[in-house]
Amino acid sequence: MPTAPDIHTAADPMAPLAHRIVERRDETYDTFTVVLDEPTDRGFLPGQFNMLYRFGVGESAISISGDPGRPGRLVHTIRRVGSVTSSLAALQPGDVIGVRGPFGRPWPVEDAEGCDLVIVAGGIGLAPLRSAIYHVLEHRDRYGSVSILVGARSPDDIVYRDEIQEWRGRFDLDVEVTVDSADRSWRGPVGVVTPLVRHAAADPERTVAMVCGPEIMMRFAATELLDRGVAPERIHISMERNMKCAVGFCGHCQFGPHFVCWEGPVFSYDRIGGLLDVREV
Amino acid sequence: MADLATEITAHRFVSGMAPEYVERVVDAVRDERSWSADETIFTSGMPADEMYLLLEGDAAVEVHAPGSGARIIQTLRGGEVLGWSWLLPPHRWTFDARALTPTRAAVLDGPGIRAASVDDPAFGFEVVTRVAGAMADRLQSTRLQLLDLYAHRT
Repeated sequence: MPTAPDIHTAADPMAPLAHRIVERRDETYDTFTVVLDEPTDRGFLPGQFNMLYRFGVGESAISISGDPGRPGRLVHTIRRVGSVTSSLAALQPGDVIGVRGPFGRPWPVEDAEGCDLVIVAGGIGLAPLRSAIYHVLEHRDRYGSVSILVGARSPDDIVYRDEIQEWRGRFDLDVEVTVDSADRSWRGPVGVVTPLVRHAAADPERTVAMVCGPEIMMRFAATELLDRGVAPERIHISMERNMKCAVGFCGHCQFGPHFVCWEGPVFSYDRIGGLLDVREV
Repeated sequence: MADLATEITAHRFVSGMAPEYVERVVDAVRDERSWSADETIFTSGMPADEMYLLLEGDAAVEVHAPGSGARIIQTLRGGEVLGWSWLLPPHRWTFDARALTPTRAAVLDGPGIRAASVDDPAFGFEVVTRVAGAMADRLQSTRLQLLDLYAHRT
Protein backbone atom coordinates (compact mmCIF):
# COMPACT_ATOMS: atom_id res chain seq x y z
CA MET A 1 0.00 0.00 0.00
CA PRO A 2 1.51 3.39 -0.92
CA THR A 3 2.28 5.83 1.83
CA ALA A 4 0.12 8.92 1.74
CA PRO A 5 2.01 12.13 1.07
CA ASP A 6 1.79 14.79 3.73
CA ILE A 7 -1.59 16.42 3.85
CA HIS A 8 -1.25 19.96 2.59
CA THR A 9 -3.07 22.68 4.40
CA ALA A 10 -1.90 25.52 2.23
CA ALA A 11 -4.55 27.62 0.55
CA ASP A 12 -2.90 27.26 -2.87
CA PRO A 13 -5.80 26.25 -5.12
CA MET A 14 -3.41 24.64 -7.59
CA ALA A 15 -1.84 22.31 -5.03
CA PRO A 16 -3.65 19.00 -4.68
CA LEU A 17 -4.11 17.59 -1.21
CA ALA A 18 -3.67 13.88 -0.70
CA HIS A 19 -6.81 12.02 0.31
CA ARG A 20 -7.19 8.33 0.99
CA ILE A 21 -10.08 6.32 -0.37
CA VAL A 22 -11.97 4.83 2.55
CA GLU A 23 -14.84 3.30 0.62
CA ARG A 24 -15.67 2.42 -2.95
CA ARG A 25 -18.91 1.04 -4.35
CA ASP A 26 -20.42 0.49 -7.78
CA GLU A 27 -23.60 2.44 -8.46
CA THR A 28 -24.24 1.02 -11.94
CA TYR A 29 -22.24 -0.91 -14.52
CA ASP A 30 -20.34 2.26 -15.48
CA THR A 31 -20.69 4.50 -12.44
CA PHE A 32 -19.07 4.23 -9.05
CA THR A 33 -18.80 6.18 -5.83
CA VAL A 34 -15.63 6.82 -3.86
CA VAL A 35 -15.60 8.13 -0.32
CA LEU A 36 -12.42 9.96 0.66
CA ASP A 37 -11.18 10.85 4.08
CA GLU A 38 -11.24 14.60 4.70
CA PRO A 39 -8.74 15.46 7.38
CA THR A 40 -8.91 19.19 6.68
CA ASP A 41 -12.66 19.62 7.21
CA ARG A 42 -12.72 22.37 4.64
CA GLY A 43 -16.39 21.80 4.03
CA PHE A 44 -18.21 22.45 0.78
CA LEU A 45 -21.44 23.85 -0.52
CA PRO A 46 -24.02 21.80 -2.46
CA GLY A 47 -23.18 21.86 -6.15
CA GLN A 48 -19.47 22.54 -5.81
CA PHE A 49 -16.88 20.29 -7.39
CA ASN A 50 -13.38 19.04 -6.74
CA MET A 51 -10.54 18.34 -9.14
CA LEU A 52 -9.59 14.72 -8.54
CA TYR A 53 -6.00 13.93 -9.48
CA ARG A 54 -5.01 10.39 -10.34
CA PHE A 55 -1.26 10.58 -9.97
CA GLY A 56 0.50 10.10 -13.26
CA VAL A 57 -2.73 10.09 -15.29
CA GLY A 58 -4.43 13.44 -14.88
CA GLU A 59 -7.19 15.44 -13.28
CA SER A 60 -10.92 15.41 -13.70
CA ALA A 61 -13.58 17.76 -12.34
CA ILE A 62 -16.07 15.78 -10.26
CA SER A 63 -19.04 17.15 -8.36
CA ILE A 64 -19.24 16.52 -4.67
CA SER A 65 -22.27 14.32 -4.09
CA GLY A 66 -22.10 13.84 -0.33
CA ASP A 67 -23.90 15.49 2.54
CA PRO A 68 -22.61 18.99 3.24
CA GLY A 69 -23.92 18.67 6.77
CA ARG A 70 -21.61 15.75 7.49
CA PRO A 71 -18.02 16.91 7.18
CA GLY A 72 -15.13 14.51 7.46
CA ARG A 73 -15.87 12.59 4.29
CA LEU A 74 -15.75 13.61 0.65
CA VAL A 75 -18.13 11.67 -1.59
CA HIS A 76 -17.82 11.64 -5.37
CA THR A 77 -19.88 9.63 -7.83
CA ILE A 78 -18.00 9.15 -11.06
CA ARG A 79 -18.88 7.77 -14.45
CA ARG A 80 -16.19 6.01 -16.43
CA VAL A 81 -15.93 8.05 -19.61
CA GLY A 82 -12.23 8.74 -20.13
CA SER A 83 -8.73 7.84 -19.08
CA VAL A 84 -8.77 9.64 -15.72
CA THR A 85 -12.16 8.39 -14.61
CA SER A 86 -11.38 4.86 -15.82
CA SER A 87 -8.15 4.97 -13.85
CA LEU A 88 -10.00 6.23 -10.79
CA ALA A 89 -12.42 3.35 -11.19
CA ALA A 90 -9.60 0.88 -10.67
CA LEU A 91 -8.67 2.29 -7.25
CA GLN A 92 -9.62 0.60 -4.03
CA PRO A 93 -9.92 1.61 -0.36
CA GLY A 94 -6.50 2.58 0.94
CA ASP A 95 -5.35 4.12 -2.32
CA VAL A 96 -4.53 7.81 -2.37
CA ILE A 97 -5.54 10.47 -4.88
CA GLY A 98 -4.98 14.22 -5.07
CA VAL A 99 -7.83 16.62 -4.51
CA ARG A 100 -8.09 20.31 -5.28
CA GLY A 101 -11.15 22.23 -4.28
CA PRO A 102 -13.91 22.73 -3.53
CA PHE A 103 -14.59 25.08 -6.41
CA GLY A 104 -17.51 26.79 -8.04
CA ARG A 105 -20.78 28.54 -7.41
CA PRO A 106 -23.21 26.30 -5.52
CA TRP A 107 -26.93 25.60 -5.80
CA PRO A 108 -28.89 28.48 -4.22
CA VAL A 109 -30.30 26.37 -1.41
CA GLU A 110 -30.42 29.24 1.07
CA ASP A 111 -31.95 31.73 -1.36
CA ALA A 112 -34.59 29.10 -2.13
CA GLU A 113 -35.83 28.89 1.45
CA GLY A 114 -39.56 29.47 1.63
CA CYS A 115 -40.00 28.34 -1.98
CA ASP A 116 -41.29 25.22 -3.66
CA LEU A 117 -38.46 23.23 -5.21
CA VAL A 118 -38.41 21.34 -8.48
CA ILE A 119 -35.23 19.31 -8.84
CA VAL A 120 -34.70 17.72 -12.24
CA ALA A 121 -31.86 15.25 -12.75
CA GLY A 122 -30.86 13.42 -15.90
CA GLY A 123 -28.50 10.45 -15.68
CA ILE A 124 -25.39 11.13 -13.63
CA GLY A 125 -26.76 14.66 -13.17
CA LEU A 126 -28.31 13.41 -9.95
CA ALA A 127 -24.84 13.33 -8.36
CA PRO A 128 -24.31 17.12 -8.26
CA LEU A 129 -27.89 17.53 -7.06
CA ARG A 130 -27.69 14.97 -4.28
CA SER A 131 -25.75 17.29 -1.98
CA ALA A 132 -28.50 19.90 -2.45
CA ILE A 133 -31.15 17.26 -1.75
CA TYR A 134 -29.35 16.29 1.45
CA HIS A 135 -29.32 19.93 2.51
CA VAL A 136 -33.03 20.30 1.76
CA LEU A 137 -33.91 17.14 3.67
CA GLU A 138 -31.81 18.31 6.59
CA HIS A 139 -33.78 21.58 6.66
CA ARG A 140 -37.04 20.29 5.24
CA ASP A 141 -39.21 22.73 7.20
CA ARG A 142 -37.60 25.68 5.41
CA TYR A 143 -39.04 24.72 2.02
CA GLY A 144 -42.47 24.32 0.48
CA SER A 145 -43.22 21.35 -1.75
CA VAL A 146 -40.20 19.45 -3.02
CA SER A 147 -40.35 17.51 -6.28
CA ILE A 148 -37.42 15.37 -7.34
CA LEU A 149 -37.67 14.24 -10.97
CA VAL A 150 -35.10 11.74 -12.18
CA GLY A 151 -34.50 10.51 -15.71
CA ALA A 152 -32.22 7.68 -16.73
CA ARG A 153 -31.44 5.74 -19.86
CA SER A 154 -32.75 2.44 -18.48
CA PRO A 155 -33.53 0.93 -15.07
CA ASP A 156 -29.94 -0.36 -14.95
CA ASP A 157 -28.64 3.21 -15.27
CA ILE A 158 -30.36 4.63 -12.21
CA VAL A 159 -27.82 5.81 -9.64
CA TYR A 160 -28.55 5.85 -5.89
CA ARG A 161 -31.43 3.40 -6.29
CA ASP A 162 -31.73 2.57 -2.60
CA GLU A 163 -31.69 6.20 -1.62
CA ILE A 164 -34.28 7.14 -4.23
CA GLN A 165 -36.45 4.36 -2.88
CA GLU A 166 -36.05 5.84 0.58
CA TRP A 167 -36.99 9.31 -0.67
CA ARG A 168 -40.05 7.90 -2.40
CA GLY A 169 -41.22 6.56 0.93
CA ARG A 170 -41.35 10.03 2.48
CA PHE A 171 -44.63 11.89 2.66
CA ASP A 172 -42.95 15.27 2.26
CA LEU A 173 -41.30 14.55 -1.09
CA ASP A 174 -42.70 13.99 -4.55
CA VAL A 175 -40.23 11.69 -6.29
CA GLU A 176 -40.64 10.46 -9.85
CA VAL A 177 -38.23 8.32 -11.81
CA THR A 178 -38.60 7.76 -15.53
CA VAL A 179 -36.45 5.84 -17.99
CA ASP A 180 -36.03 6.15 -21.75
CA SER A 181 -36.43 2.47 -22.38
CA ALA A 182 -37.62 -0.52 -20.39
CA ASP A 183 -39.08 -3.96 -20.60
CA ARG A 184 -42.13 -5.08 -18.67
CA SER A 185 -40.23 -5.68 -15.46
CA TRP A 186 -40.09 -1.90 -14.99
CA ARG A 187 -43.20 -0.62 -13.22
CA GLY A 188 -42.51 3.11 -13.41
CA PRO A 189 -42.88 5.77 -16.10
CA VAL A 190 -41.15 5.47 -19.47
CA GLY A 191 -40.32 8.62 -21.40
CA VAL A 192 -38.08 11.62 -21.07
CA VAL A 193 -37.84 13.36 -17.73
CA THR A 194 -38.76 16.85 -18.87
CA PRO A 195 -42.57 16.42 -19.22
CA LEU A 196 -42.70 15.33 -15.57
CA VAL A 197 -42.21 19.02 -14.76
CA ARG A 198 -45.86 19.56 -15.78
CA HIS A 199 -47.06 17.28 -13.02
CA ALA A 200 -44.85 18.63 -10.25
CA ALA A 201 -46.89 19.95 -7.35
CA ALA A 202 -45.27 23.36 -7.24
CA ASP A 203 -46.59 26.90 -7.42
CA PRO A 204 -44.72 28.44 -10.38
CA GLU A 205 -44.66 31.86 -8.79
CA ARG A 206 -42.78 30.61 -5.77
CA THR A 207 -40.78 27.83 -7.39
CA VAL A 208 -37.03 27.52 -7.56
CA ALA A 209 -35.80 24.86 -9.98
CA MET A 210 -32.45 23.11 -9.99
CA VAL A 211 -31.62 21.14 -13.10
CA CYS A 212 -28.62 19.00 -13.97
CA GLY A 213 -28.08 16.60 -16.85
CA PRO A 214 -27.15 16.65 -20.52
CA GLU A 215 -27.43 20.14 -21.98
CA ILE A 216 -30.29 19.26 -24.32
CA MET A 217 -32.23 17.83 -21.42
CA MET A 218 -31.61 20.95 -19.36
CA ARG A 219 -32.78 23.13 -22.22
CA PHE A 220 -36.04 21.19 -22.56
CA ALA A 221 -36.52 21.09 -18.80
CA ALA A 222 -36.05 24.86 -18.66
CA THR A 223 -38.59 25.27 -21.47
CA GLU A 224 -41.14 23.22 -19.52
CA LEU A 225 -40.46 25.27 -16.40
CA LEU A 226 -40.77 28.55 -18.31
CA ASP A 227 -44.03 27.29 -19.87
CA ARG A 228 -45.34 26.65 -16.38
CA GLY A 229 -44.52 30.22 -15.45
CA VAL A 230 -41.30 29.79 -13.48
CA ALA A 231 -39.17 32.92 -13.90
CA PRO A 232 -35.83 32.35 -15.69
CA GLU A 233 -33.85 33.77 -12.79
CA ARG A 234 -35.35 31.08 -10.56
CA ILE A 235 -34.26 28.24 -12.82
CA HIS A 236 -30.73 27.07 -12.08
CA ILE A 237 -28.70 24.69 -14.19
CA SER A 238 -25.30 23.12 -13.61
CA MET A 239 -23.00 23.26 -16.61
CA GLU A 240 -20.29 20.78 -17.46
CA ARG A 241 -17.24 21.89 -19.38
CA ASN A 242 -13.63 20.87 -19.72
CA MET A 243 -12.30 22.20 -16.43
CA LYS A 244 -8.54 22.44 -16.11
CA CYS A 245 -7.35 25.07 -13.64
CA ALA A 246 -10.74 25.38 -11.88
CA VAL A 247 -9.92 28.91 -10.75
CA GLY A 248 -10.79 30.97 -13.82
CA PHE A 249 -7.28 31.36 -15.26
CA CYS A 250 -6.86 28.97 -18.14
CA GLY A 251 -10.08 29.44 -20.09
CA HIS A 252 -10.56 25.78 -21.02
CA CYS A 253 -14.05 25.82 -19.56
CA GLN A 254 -15.09 29.06 -21.19
CA PHE A 255 -18.73 29.12 -22.29
CA GLY A 256 -19.39 32.30 -24.21
CA PRO A 257 -18.27 35.07 -21.87
CA HIS A 258 -18.47 32.81 -18.82
CA PHE A 259 -15.83 30.72 -17.09
CA VAL A 260 -17.83 27.71 -15.95
CA CYS A 261 -15.35 26.73 -13.22
CA TRP A 262 -15.37 30.14 -11.66
CA GLU A 263 -18.75 31.70 -12.38
CA GLY A 264 -20.51 28.33 -12.37
CA PRO A 265 -20.97 25.46 -12.58
CA VAL A 266 -24.40 26.56 -11.34
CA PHE A 267 -25.90 29.39 -13.37
CA SER A 268 -29.33 30.93 -13.34
CA TYR A 269 -31.10 30.45 -16.65
CA ASP A 270 -31.47 34.17 -17.32
CA ARG A 271 -27.65 34.43 -17.42
CA ILE A 272 -26.91 31.47 -19.62
CA GLY A 273 -30.09 30.21 -21.28
CA GLY A 274 -29.50 32.12 -24.51
CA LEU A 275 -26.14 30.46 -24.98
CA LEU A 276 -27.62 26.97 -24.90
CA ASP A 277 -29.13 27.58 -28.33
CA VAL A 278 -25.85 28.75 -29.86
CA ARG A 279 -24.25 25.96 -31.88
CA GLU A 280 -20.62 26.96 -31.49
CA VAL A 281 -19.82 28.50 -28.14
CA MET B 1 -72.95 9.44 -16.52
CA ALA B 2 -73.38 12.80 -14.84
CA ASP B 3 -70.25 12.23 -12.78
CA LEU B 4 -68.36 11.05 -15.85
CA ALA B 5 -69.47 14.18 -17.73
CA THR B 6 -68.08 16.27 -14.89
CA GLU B 7 -64.78 14.40 -15.06
CA ILE B 8 -64.57 14.85 -18.83
CA THR B 9 -65.33 18.54 -18.51
CA ALA B 10 -62.36 18.82 -16.16
CA HIS B 11 -60.08 16.72 -18.41
CA ARG B 12 -57.03 18.44 -19.89
CA PHE B 13 -58.11 17.38 -23.39
CA VAL B 14 -61.08 19.76 -23.35
CA SER B 15 -59.43 22.52 -21.34
CA GLY B 16 -60.33 25.86 -22.95
CA MET B 17 -62.75 24.26 -25.42
CA ALA B 18 -66.07 26.02 -26.08
CA PRO B 19 -68.82 24.57 -23.84
CA GLU B 20 -70.89 23.37 -26.81
CA TYR B 21 -67.90 21.41 -28.11
CA VAL B 22 -67.22 19.93 -24.69
CA GLU B 23 -70.82 18.82 -24.73
CA ARG B 24 -70.26 17.06 -28.06
CA VAL B 25 -67.23 15.30 -26.64
CA VAL B 26 -69.36 14.18 -23.71
CA ASP B 27 -72.04 13.02 -26.15
CA ALA B 28 -69.40 10.91 -27.91
CA VAL B 29 -68.69 8.88 -24.78
CA ARG B 30 -69.47 5.21 -25.24
CA ASP B 31 -68.80 4.21 -21.69
CA GLU B 32 -66.48 4.43 -18.77
CA ARG B 33 -64.09 1.51 -18.64
CA SER B 34 -61.66 0.18 -16.07
CA TRP B 35 -58.69 -2.13 -16.38
CA SER B 36 -56.78 -3.87 -13.67
CA ALA B 37 -52.98 -3.79 -13.60
CA ASP B 38 -51.40 -5.63 -16.54
CA GLU B 39 -54.69 -5.88 -18.42
CA THR B 40 -54.58 -5.13 -22.15
CA ILE B 41 -56.38 -1.98 -23.29
CA PHE B 42 -55.87 -2.54 -27.01
CA THR B 43 -53.67 -4.60 -29.28
CA SER B 44 -51.63 -3.69 -32.32
CA GLY B 45 -53.32 -4.52 -35.63
CA MET B 46 -56.83 -4.57 -34.22
CA PRO B 47 -59.50 -2.11 -35.44
CA ALA B 48 -59.17 1.27 -33.76
CA ASP B 49 -62.50 2.95 -33.25
CA GLU B 50 -62.09 4.37 -29.76
CA MET B 51 -60.28 7.22 -28.10
CA TYR B 52 -59.44 7.06 -24.41
CA LEU B 53 -59.40 10.00 -22.05
CA LEU B 54 -57.44 8.61 -19.13
CA LEU B 55 -59.03 9.58 -15.86
CA GLU B 56 -56.99 7.59 -13.38
CA GLY B 57 -54.08 5.22 -13.38
CA ASP B 58 -51.07 4.65 -15.62
CA ALA B 59 -50.98 3.00 -19.01
CA ALA B 60 -48.05 1.80 -21.11
CA VAL B 61 -47.77 2.00 -24.88
CA GLU B 62 -45.76 -1.02 -25.98
CA VAL B 63 -44.32 -2.71 -28.99
CA HIS B 64 -43.48 -6.37 -29.35
CA ALA B 65 -40.18 -7.04 -31.05
CA PRO B 66 -39.31 -10.56 -32.13
CA GLY B 67 -36.70 -11.97 -29.82
CA SER B 68 -36.80 -9.18 -27.28
CA GLY B 69 -40.37 -9.35 -26.06
CA ALA B 70 -42.41 -6.31 -25.11
CA ARG B 71 -40.68 -2.93 -24.85
CA ILE B 72 -42.42 -0.01 -23.22
CA ILE B 73 -42.23 3.02 -25.48
CA GLN B 74 -44.01 5.48 -23.27
CA THR B 75 -46.24 5.62 -20.26
CA LEU B 76 -49.26 7.84 -19.84
CA ARG B 77 -51.21 8.90 -16.79
CA GLY B 78 -54.59 10.25 -15.78
CA GLY B 79 -55.34 13.50 -17.61
CA GLU B 80 -53.71 12.35 -20.84
CA VAL B 81 -55.11 11.00 -24.09
CA LEU B 82 -54.49 7.44 -25.22
CA GLY B 83 -54.88 6.43 -28.85
CA TRP B 84 -55.21 8.37 -32.06
CA SER B 85 -55.36 5.56 -34.63
CA TRP B 86 -59.15 5.99 -34.65
CA LEU B 87 -58.58 9.33 -36.40
CA LEU B 88 -56.42 8.23 -39.32
CA PRO B 89 -56.92 5.47 -41.88
CA PRO B 90 -56.61 2.51 -41.81
CA HIS B 91 -58.02 2.88 -38.27
CA ARG B 92 -55.98 0.08 -36.75
CA TRP B 93 -53.88 0.27 -33.60
CA THR B 94 -50.19 0.53 -34.35
CA PHE B 95 -49.03 -0.30 -30.81
CA ASP B 96 -50.25 -2.21 -27.80
CA ALA B 97 -51.59 -0.48 -24.73
CA ARG B 98 -51.63 -2.04 -21.28
CA ALA B 99 -52.69 -0.81 -17.86
CA LEU B 100 -49.73 -0.57 -15.49
CA THR B 101 -51.90 0.19 -12.49
CA PRO B 102 -55.68 0.04 -12.03
CA THR B 103 -56.74 2.43 -14.76
CA ARG B 104 -59.99 4.13 -15.62
CA ALA B 105 -60.87 6.00 -18.82
CA ALA B 106 -63.74 7.65 -20.64
CA VAL B 107 -64.05 5.77 -23.93
CA LEU B 108 -65.07 7.94 -26.88
CA ASP B 109 -66.67 6.78 -30.09
CA GLY B 110 -64.03 7.40 -32.79
CA PRO B 111 -66.28 7.13 -35.87
CA GLY B 112 -68.85 9.31 -34.08
CA ILE B 113 -66.28 12.06 -33.52
CA ARG B 114 -65.11 11.78 -37.12
CA ALA B 115 -68.70 12.15 -38.36
CA ALA B 116 -69.34 15.11 -36.06
CA SER B 117 -66.15 16.70 -37.33
CA VAL B 118 -67.30 16.38 -40.93
CA ASP B 119 -70.64 17.92 -40.01
CA ASP B 120 -69.00 20.79 -38.15
CA PRO B 121 -65.43 21.42 -39.33
CA ALA B 122 -64.88 24.00 -36.57
CA PHE B 123 -65.52 21.29 -33.99
CA GLY B 124 -63.36 18.93 -36.02
CA PHE B 125 -60.54 21.46 -36.04
CA GLU B 126 -60.73 21.76 -32.26
CA VAL B 127 -60.54 18.01 -31.81
CA VAL B 128 -57.81 17.45 -34.38
CA THR B 129 -55.73 20.30 -32.99
CA ARG B 130 -55.84 18.75 -29.54
CA VAL B 131 -55.08 15.26 -30.77
CA ALA B 132 -52.25 16.69 -32.89
CA GLY B 133 -50.94 18.47 -29.79
CA ALA B 134 -50.72 15.16 -27.96
CA MET B 135 -49.10 13.57 -31.03
CA ALA B 136 -46.53 16.37 -31.31
CA ASP B 137 -45.77 16.13 -27.63
CA ARG B 138 -45.11 12.42 -27.90
CA LEU B 139 -43.11 12.81 -31.09
CA GLN B 140 -40.86 15.27 -29.31
CA SER B 141 -40.47 12.89 -26.39
CA THR B 142 -39.68 10.04 -28.75
CA ARG B 143 -37.07 12.13 -30.54
CA LEU B 144 -35.41 12.93 -27.25
CA GLN B 145 -35.47 9.24 -26.32
CA LEU B 146 -33.88 8.40 -29.68
CA LEU B 147 -31.10 10.90 -28.98
CA ASP B 148 -30.04 8.64 -26.14
CA LEU B 149 -29.12 11.71 -24.13
CA TYR B 150 -27.49 9.88 -21.28
CA ALA B 151 -25.18 7.73 -23.38
CA HIS B 152 -21.41 8.05 -23.29
CA ARG B 153 -19.99 11.03 -25.15
CA THR B 154 -16.32 10.12 -25.47
